[in-house]
Amino acid sequence: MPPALAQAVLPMLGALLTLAASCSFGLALMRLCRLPVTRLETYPFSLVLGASVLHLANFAALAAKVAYTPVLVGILLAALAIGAAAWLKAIATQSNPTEAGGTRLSPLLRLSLGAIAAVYFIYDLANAWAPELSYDGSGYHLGLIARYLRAHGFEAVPTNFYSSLSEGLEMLFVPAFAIGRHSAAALVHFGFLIAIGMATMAYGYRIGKPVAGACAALLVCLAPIAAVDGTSAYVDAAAAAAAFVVFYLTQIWDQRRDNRLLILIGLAAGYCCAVKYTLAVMLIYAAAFVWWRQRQFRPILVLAVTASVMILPWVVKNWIYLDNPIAPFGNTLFRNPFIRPEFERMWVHRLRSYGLTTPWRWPLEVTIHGELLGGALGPVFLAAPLALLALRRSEGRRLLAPVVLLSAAYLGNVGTRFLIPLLPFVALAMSLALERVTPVLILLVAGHAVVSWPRVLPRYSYAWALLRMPSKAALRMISEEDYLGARWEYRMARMVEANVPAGGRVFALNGLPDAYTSREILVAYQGAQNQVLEDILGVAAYDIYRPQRVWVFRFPARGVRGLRVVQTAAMPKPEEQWSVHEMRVLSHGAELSRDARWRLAAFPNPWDVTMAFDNSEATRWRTWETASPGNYIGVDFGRAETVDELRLETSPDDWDVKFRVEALDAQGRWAPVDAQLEERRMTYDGSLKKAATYELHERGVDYLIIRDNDWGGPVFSADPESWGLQVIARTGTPTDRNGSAATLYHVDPRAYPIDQVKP
Amino acid sequence: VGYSNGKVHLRLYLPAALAAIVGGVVATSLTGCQNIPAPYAPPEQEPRFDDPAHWQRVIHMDDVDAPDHFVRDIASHLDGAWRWGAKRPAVRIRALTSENLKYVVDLAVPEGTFRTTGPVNITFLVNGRALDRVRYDTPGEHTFEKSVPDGWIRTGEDTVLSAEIDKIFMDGNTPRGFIVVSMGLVNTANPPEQH
Repeated sequence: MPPALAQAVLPMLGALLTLAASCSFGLALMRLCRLPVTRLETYPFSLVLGASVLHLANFAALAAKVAYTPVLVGILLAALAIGAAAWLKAIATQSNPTEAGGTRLSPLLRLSLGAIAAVYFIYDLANAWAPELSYDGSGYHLGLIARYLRAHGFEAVPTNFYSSLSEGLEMLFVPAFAIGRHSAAALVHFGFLIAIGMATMAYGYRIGKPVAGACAALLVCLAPIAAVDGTSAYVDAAAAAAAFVVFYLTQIWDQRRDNRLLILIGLAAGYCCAVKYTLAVMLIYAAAFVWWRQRQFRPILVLAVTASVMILPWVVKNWIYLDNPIAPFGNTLFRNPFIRPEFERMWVHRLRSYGLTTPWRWPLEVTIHGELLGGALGPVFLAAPLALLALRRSEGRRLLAPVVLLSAAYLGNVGTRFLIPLLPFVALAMSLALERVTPVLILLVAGHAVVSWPRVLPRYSYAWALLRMPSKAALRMISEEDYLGARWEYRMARMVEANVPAGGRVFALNGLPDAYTSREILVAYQGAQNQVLEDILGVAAYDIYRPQRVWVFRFPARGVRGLRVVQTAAMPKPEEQWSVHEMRVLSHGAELSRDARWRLAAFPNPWDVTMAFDNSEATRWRTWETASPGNYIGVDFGRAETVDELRLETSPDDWDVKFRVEALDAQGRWAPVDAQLEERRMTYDGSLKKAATYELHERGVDYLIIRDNDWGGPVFSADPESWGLQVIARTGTPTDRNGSAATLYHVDPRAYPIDQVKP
Repeated sequence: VGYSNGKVHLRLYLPAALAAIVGGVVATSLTGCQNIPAPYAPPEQEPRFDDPAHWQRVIHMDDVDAPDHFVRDIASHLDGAWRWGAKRPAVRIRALTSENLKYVVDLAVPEGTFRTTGPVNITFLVNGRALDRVRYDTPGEHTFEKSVPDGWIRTGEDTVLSAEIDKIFMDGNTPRGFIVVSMGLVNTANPPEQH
């Protein structure tokens, strides 16, 4: 097959095979549990339910380290074989949509709404099929999958907290990516966007409101954020499809009271959680609904057990790899060296606001502007409060019940794409409210179609959205390299690939499309070890982090087995940490040399305690969480030592710390020491810059990729030599020409002969 | 486990089994979650990196290592961030470069001593060679800065920086010259690392 043709066909083949395998598993399950569905319901139900099973199968392949392409294709083919009988049965016995609700769309409506759907379908398909370069998609969603596939299985990725998120949809990306690379994954996700539309429409039929269902489906799928997210290798559209299927199944269960359906509800609710943590609320919803309708304990247990089949693999994976089953959360409960409580605090805080300073800006931001919150729903959703009118009807109340829970989950991350799971419910409720004034509803949908059109959208919004139809790129009439090469983020990734040897590790202050390089990129905020690297560079770059201050504790000479300093103050601000560059113990003015018998301990963050005893002023032990009374750092000498002075060399960025010195006696008890405290200045006259890059080298990181607009951009480019750095490549357009550019540095061994510097 | 449309018949005692699993998970969590490692041995000691191109050193009197640099006539007692100097306070510094250096001193002539001594002359010396002589007609804080001629300082050897006052004030038996805040050398050709 010619390469260009292969580039075009393989993504579609990978996606179609994966989606078909999912549907196949799903149909088999539906048949097993006797789920009666209409033709329109078949695809979304079978896709979501089958995806839950296929995700487990691929998880198992990765866990067993046998994720080779033939194995993954074998799983897909096995799924197709298993579901073959169900496929045939489904084709033969399905009812058409009208059988459930009894009403049909008028031919005129069918034609007009169908035309809108068809145009947008083609447009979205071209975007999904075109080479993938979405920010998170080509970053961690596919970056991690590419890494697992290179290793043929899971591996610990302690330097990227995104690896701790459940990857329910990414498990479907695995075979698709193995066959058709990046855009195959985006096409798989697109399959779920279609499923949302079909499920929304089908629900309208089922409740006898086909117009409302069809209009709601268009409101959802045409929303700019749903379109761009659903055609990228993201997961939100899949999460929305799974959430709506949970709701839908509970309604069918309520009609039929067939408890076999509880298994399907549990699987779908568990899969919601596996796709996106925040959608664990759908399990709560399902359990609450079933309890409300049946008031029995056992159905709830069935739900819990089946859901746990989907959830537990991710919990166990995190426990094994990251010592924290609920990573990236709960890091003060499950302490670990990979994700710091301070990061968790900052991250959660950031996700709750995205820098939105006042809640009054929120409605316009999520519907129209979309710049801060990363996308827009479209102006039509300013009319979302109309959905409340649907509360007058039973169907409306049922639709809006999950919205309460999903909204609560949304408050944890207020990015616009986190509203996608709410859209089917809200759009259906809006449509139900307006169903009696059908012309208004149709006008609303038509208006939505117009203002969401890519040529119109940029006139009023800066939101992340689909802005053009890359049909030539989709069909690979333009090569992937040419299409992607126009984007400097891609060139940045390829620059790393070309200039960093295999196995090389690259530190970056901001993310890049990991999926397009096989080199390990350590992004500053993505892991505790990376944060330490950034902190080391920050110590050398910024005055406030340099060691400039010494806390000197003097006390009458005494024989002790150990010494520690305990922090005693509560911090007025949560961002206040305690840090120690070096801790030195003296006797009669002379420093005790650090003996091999010494044992060093600190709390919190015991893993970094050695950084306060390594004689490097570029490194420091930090609490990496808000300093609190009882935090300590200390040493057990392993024998009695006569000491009279203890020094903590620190930076001036911990303003409110207070101390108590404690000594370890022969019985192993810590007791306070009456010490006189003086604050002294410290002037370090060595090169912290070289010490910093040396520390990076010692940690196996010999490359840095720095964007011009990163904090390190001007810092490193001004005088790379003083940092011991050598510029080896550069790409992009400089920021002074309204562009973005990045520089790849190598820790230059000529700057300090590394083999000779050890004392 | 068998199901029918109406009732759920569970042969296993599902609630008990599930409770046992949940209990086990919770117990394991609570006992295993405080994943604190054993104390560490001291690590390999890291090297120090000199940087002659950017080298500078100013001894601030409240530097924790300042007394290590004192040669003579600087009080051992620290008052805030300064110390009393006597007739000819001096510090020792090892220079890593010999060019483009400037001798800098932050000092103060106290009003109390000035009332007795009147205007004073201070001679600033590098390795015993007079670099400059400055007359201070008013009390208060002053800064002295002057480039050191190339060749006065030898790379890698101790350099003695001193400042000699012509009149001293006797505080009982203690001679008081002027207040020293800092003394040292800065590199004028290359900016220092950000401080």
